[in-house]
Amino acid sequence: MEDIVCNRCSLLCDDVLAEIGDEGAKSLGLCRLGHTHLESVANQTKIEVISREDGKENKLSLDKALEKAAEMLISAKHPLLYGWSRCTNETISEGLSLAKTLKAVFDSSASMGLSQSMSHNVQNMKLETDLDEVQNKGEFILYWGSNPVESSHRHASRFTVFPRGENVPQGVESRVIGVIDIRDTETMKMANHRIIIPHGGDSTLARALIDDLTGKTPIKTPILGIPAAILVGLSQALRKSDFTVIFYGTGLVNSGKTTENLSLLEELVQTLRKLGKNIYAMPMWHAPNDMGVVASSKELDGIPVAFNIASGKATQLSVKNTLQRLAAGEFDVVLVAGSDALVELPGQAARGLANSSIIYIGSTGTLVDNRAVLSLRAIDDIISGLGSMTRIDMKDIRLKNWDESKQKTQNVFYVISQLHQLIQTKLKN
Amino acid sequence: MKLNPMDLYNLLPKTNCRQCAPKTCMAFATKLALGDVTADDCPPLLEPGFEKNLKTIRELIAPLLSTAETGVKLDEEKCTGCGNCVVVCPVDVAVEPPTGLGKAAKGDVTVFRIDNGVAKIINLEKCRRFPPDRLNCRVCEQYCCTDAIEIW
Ligand code: SF4
Ligand code: SF4
Ligand code: SF4
Ligand code: SF4
Repeated sequence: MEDIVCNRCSLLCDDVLAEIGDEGAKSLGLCRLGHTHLESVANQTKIEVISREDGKENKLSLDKALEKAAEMLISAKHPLLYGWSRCTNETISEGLSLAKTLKAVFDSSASMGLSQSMSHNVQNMKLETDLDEVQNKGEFILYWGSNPVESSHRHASRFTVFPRGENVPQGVESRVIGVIDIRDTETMKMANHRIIIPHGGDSTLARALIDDLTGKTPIKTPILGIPAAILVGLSQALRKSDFTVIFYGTGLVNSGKTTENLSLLEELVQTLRKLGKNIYAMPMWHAPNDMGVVASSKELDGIPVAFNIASGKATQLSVKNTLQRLAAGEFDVVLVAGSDALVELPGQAARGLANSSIIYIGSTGTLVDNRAVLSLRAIDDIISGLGSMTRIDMKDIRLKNWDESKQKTQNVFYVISQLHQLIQTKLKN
Repeated sequence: MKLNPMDLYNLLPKTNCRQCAPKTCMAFATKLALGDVTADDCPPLLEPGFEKNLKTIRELIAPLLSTAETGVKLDEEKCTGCGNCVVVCPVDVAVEPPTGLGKAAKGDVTVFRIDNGVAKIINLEKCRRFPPDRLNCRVCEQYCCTDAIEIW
């Protein structure tokens, strides 16, 4: 078996082994999600292209497919380049340049919460700690509106709850774990503090904690129906810990009060810092490289959300804009790269996408792959082993070149670069 | 049968009087759930007024104290391959130390290893519930969030 890097979720595990033989893929250390992904892409040896017309599927050569895709994008009135969350950083950069060339809108699932979090003051486009430091020092781990047991399977075992570290020699026994969510999640099973709040109750809870910690209004009565003793216990745990990390997720950010919740999170962090505590907030997003999208687009123009490059200069779009425009069917041609957008997008936007002309470039077997008028099924990056991705703590992880990688270089990056070159040539002529 | 430390904690005097080795009631409850201490190790619990709580705690932890016939079972259907069991099992940490730091088990010496996306018990005989240790360890079961591990 050889060292590989798993590209299936934002943890980008690089301590795992795999091999591909006659009986398919074998792995050590990959979680179920990672292994299933490896299995599903293991046997593809070259690009496959399918075109669909009037319900009929035809195989095409790569050259013909690139030609067709280029024509479709050049003649599109309102092209959208969407996806990117499973792509390498190199592919994302190429996608951004392609958006400039085409004067297209560029967007990704990162703008459904992560970009808003990273551009809010609570993060200021940076993280002040990383998962390795959390492993070594994290004393109180608080999952707020995030559920690693369901989405990032190895989060707790690799970094936050169970591993031993410099200041936490007994692992889980040296740490305190809290979970705040709107339901009883599997993650709560490992927690000492389990707080179930009503939907939308995050801001009330955050305010109550801040006011208790500052001494302004000590918690004495139930809040949101939660007994005072339980809330005081949480507040005391925050006060006691010298190294707290709040892993906040979509439950906190996308519960309808994005800015208010993020601002309260920031206030909570500042309150504890004033009490002399090390406390950090870290977003907890699941898509493999949403953080890479945030980092790459920041470099482009300092704008971390979606882009409209139609004017030749990147201007910020709100997430609603792209989703609403998708729902209204405003994009005539959508290039979906490295994402299963039909699964990731909310209902109406997904329906809008399904009704547009889709060119798909990515791994085989996604919903959008089966719906596209043109599907370019590229070698998955876990196999090609080329390029890098950005872990959820903003650490760049280089994919590993392994035996399976040899000559299997026709990945999404390759296809997007070829397409971009062709489009540039056509536009010049 | 699984014991939730919170259930045990609620039955303790909750005074953090520091008369037991773990010093706080929450730490005591965690150790109680693992079988590392017994109800008799909490002096205030033996005093008048706690008879009912004492009885309930003894009933709850009784199965823990018998490991004459024991076993560890793993339901692969439920397992997500999260690796919690690999990292918490004291045997794994002793025989392949990087697992204690959260790394995947890669050798063939641990009790648990994640093979092809799910946990496998590859050296059951090393589990400390069996002779010669006969310890009341059940941390793997306690921290398997999907209830894939069952110990009896
Ligand atoms: S936790 Fe994520 S990166 Fe790690 S093995 Fe599982 S899917 Fe892959
Ligand atoms: S001796 Fe009993 S009451 Fe005192 S701290 Fe320990 S568990 Fe709590
Ligand atoms: S019960 Fe056995 S297998 Fe489970 S953690 Fe303890 S020693 Fe390891
Ligand atoms: S802790 Fe449970 S779910 Fe996680 S790998 Fe072990 S058996 Fe599977």
